[in-house]
Amino acid sequence: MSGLISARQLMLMILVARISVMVVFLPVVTSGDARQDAWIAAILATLAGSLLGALMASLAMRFPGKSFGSFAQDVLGGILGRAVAFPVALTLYGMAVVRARVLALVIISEVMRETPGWVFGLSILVAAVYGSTLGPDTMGRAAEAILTIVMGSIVIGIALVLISRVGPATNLKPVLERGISPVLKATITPLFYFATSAATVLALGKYCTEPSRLRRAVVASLLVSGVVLTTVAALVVTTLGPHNAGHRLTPVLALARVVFFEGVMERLDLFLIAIWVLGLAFEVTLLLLSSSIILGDTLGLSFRHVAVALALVAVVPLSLGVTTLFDYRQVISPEVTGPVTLIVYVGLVGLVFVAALIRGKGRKDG
Amino acid sequence: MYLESLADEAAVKAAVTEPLLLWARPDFVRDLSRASLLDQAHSRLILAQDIKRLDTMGDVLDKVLKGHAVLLVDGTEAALAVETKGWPSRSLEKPSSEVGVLGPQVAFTESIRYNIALVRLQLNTPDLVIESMSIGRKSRTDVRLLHVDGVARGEIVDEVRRRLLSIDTDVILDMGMIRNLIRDDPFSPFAMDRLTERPDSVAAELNKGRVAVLSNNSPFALVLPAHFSMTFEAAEDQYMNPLTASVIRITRMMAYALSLLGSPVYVAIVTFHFELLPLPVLLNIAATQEGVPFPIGLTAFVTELVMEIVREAGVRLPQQFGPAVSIVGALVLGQAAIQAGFVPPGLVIVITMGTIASFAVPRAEKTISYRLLRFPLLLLGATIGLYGVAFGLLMLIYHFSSLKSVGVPYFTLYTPGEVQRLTTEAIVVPPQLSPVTRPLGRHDRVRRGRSPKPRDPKASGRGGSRR
Repeated sequence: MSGLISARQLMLMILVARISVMVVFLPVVTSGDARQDAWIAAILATLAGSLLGALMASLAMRFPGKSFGSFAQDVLGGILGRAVAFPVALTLYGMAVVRARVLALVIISEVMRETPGWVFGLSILVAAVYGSTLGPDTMGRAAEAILTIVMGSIVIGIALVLISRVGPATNLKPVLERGISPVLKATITPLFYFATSAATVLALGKYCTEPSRLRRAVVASLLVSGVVLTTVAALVVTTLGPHNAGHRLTPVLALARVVFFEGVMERLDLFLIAIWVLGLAFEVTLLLLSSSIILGDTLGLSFRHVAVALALVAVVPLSLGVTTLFDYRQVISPEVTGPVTLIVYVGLVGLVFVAALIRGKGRKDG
Repeated sequence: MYLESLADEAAVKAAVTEPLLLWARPDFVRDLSRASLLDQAHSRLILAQDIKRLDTMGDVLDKVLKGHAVLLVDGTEAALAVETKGWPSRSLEKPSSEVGVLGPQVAFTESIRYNIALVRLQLNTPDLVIESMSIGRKSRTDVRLLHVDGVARGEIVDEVRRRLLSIDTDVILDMGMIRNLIRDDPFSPFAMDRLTERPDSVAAELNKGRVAVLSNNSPFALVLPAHFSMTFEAAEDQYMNPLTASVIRITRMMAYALSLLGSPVYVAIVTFHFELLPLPVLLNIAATQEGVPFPIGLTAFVTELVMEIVREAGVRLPQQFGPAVSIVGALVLGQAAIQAGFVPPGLVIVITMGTIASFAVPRAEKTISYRLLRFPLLLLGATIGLYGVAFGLLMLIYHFSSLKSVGVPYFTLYTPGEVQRLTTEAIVVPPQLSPVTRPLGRHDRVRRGRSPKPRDPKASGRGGSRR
């Protein structure tokens, strides 16, 4: 089997994908009812997401050299296995399309207001299909370079915000003023994003040369990205204030706008978007690749062919008129992401895991 | 039998003709059969180090065409090939494309024998393996595969050997033809190997676990496998203070980024994201652009193109004319274009800085393909701004990540097993801090142990001799 990756590369791939989309999904933490407790929601989502990720990695560890599309059939039989694998693959694929569309939305809302949105959506799709067809090993190496750029920009950005204008810590108080319920509700959507990233292990685990280290790799990547998410959420709330942060669709970009160099550079957020494009496009590629691997194994096709076919299908939703960011709020609302997380990542993946345990399928150390 | 143009006539005379005439007495010849005459000539008469017995006419022709003298005896079915190679070649000279202040000042020549000797002088170990082969149906070019036994990975040596032996072409004129025939990805514009004219560089790379290919008629050695970080390495880095060498390498990386991204980012900002700039800078740029009849993207594209033409013309022209063309192109043409209002001065500054920065990258053979990347990036920056530049970079990262050099990934940063690359190739670590290992080596991995830490002689000399 060609295109093999190490556990460390898998960790980097998930990490790049996770921290890059923070710009987009941060509103789901800050804009809900959690307000000043957004950082607590971020911590809870990280912990729950890591737990879910550990379970998915454990499942993948039981079946080294196989993807969810294959081992679901081994565990549940051909028809039921396919019926379970399809929704998981399609959820990953759907998230790839949503991410590409959100990227287009953010760019036309924040930067290039006169350029048609499909230009950005389709160009991301081109990058995603190119990266997917190059295979997991190429993506593993690309993650190393992109992580360096994205992580570097985040560290520099946080430092600049701290130097320039960090708000009073009192903005984070009072803690749990409205009880735990709003915080738990704000946890649902980030948990969905964590679970989506972790679910890539169900596809990429097939190519990992160190299956026994899958769980450690997945959990480590989710915990590190959780730390970044919590830090940025706290920074956003303290600097912009809980009320202001709650009403912004792209609070991280608003945070970046507080930084400027007198007489040198007026806006930092544009560079942030340019760098974020690298990370987000990488995540779209990763999701397209993962869904293609699972679908390919389910249907007995090469993942490269499936990736091209899926990309062609995605042309339609990405070409439709993209005019506003507000419809994005509905996609990421807990009312949508909660049931999807429960049904797909807990229900279907959990079903295969429990069935594998009961029927004694796969390696015992998983 | 020998070819006058390829054999050294003095060597033929000293090794073959004179011994035969002086020592082959009539009684000596008369007492021997024809077959043993050849054996006796081999063992007692001919004064040469390399004598080979040949059994076929094909071998005879091959040896004659390679400059050997071949001794044929009437009535025998064998012949003797005597090493008498000697053709005109230039003497040793300084490197011309890898100029350095420190280190050995000698470059390869077109003679493969000289070149092997130059490498051997640097790497005087019995573990240096030199494999011979002929490539090219008509040219039958002498090619040597060099590696250090126990240091280079067997699978890499095997793969390079397999690729060399599988070359099926009529003529090999230079190493450039070999590199094109054995490269991993024929559709990529980027070189996934390293061409060098410095014997010390070849010795250093062999010692790291790489293999080298030398070819007759070529003053360049091909080093495999290559890594992206080698683009920023100069031969003299290993002779410099580690801290200085690291800073210079990082400067080269920044120069490379400037040459690649300078004009695309400038065009993107001026066209789409001028709100990034402070008001005084913005007003300054707007004032200089006033009256320029073409869009800034088109102007930048044409200016970059003209700059490439000037550079190419300067390289191809004889040495006496090259600088003149550069001066006319860069100074006169640039000044005239600004005064005529065709090109804004800011753009000329950015493009000139990018061009100068590209010269700071030591690998001339690689910078050509990298330089051309500016054009698609410029196009993307001019049409969809910084997003386009980021998109172009992403595609480049994907492409680079997919490249392999003899099966070894060309573009890695932290891949397991390659971590040492950061300390041995991207930055130079002082020997006191860490031992240097071979990232590509499998056995004998430590190249240099930890150096002794300096000690004050006064403090350490307390137990010394006393009167």
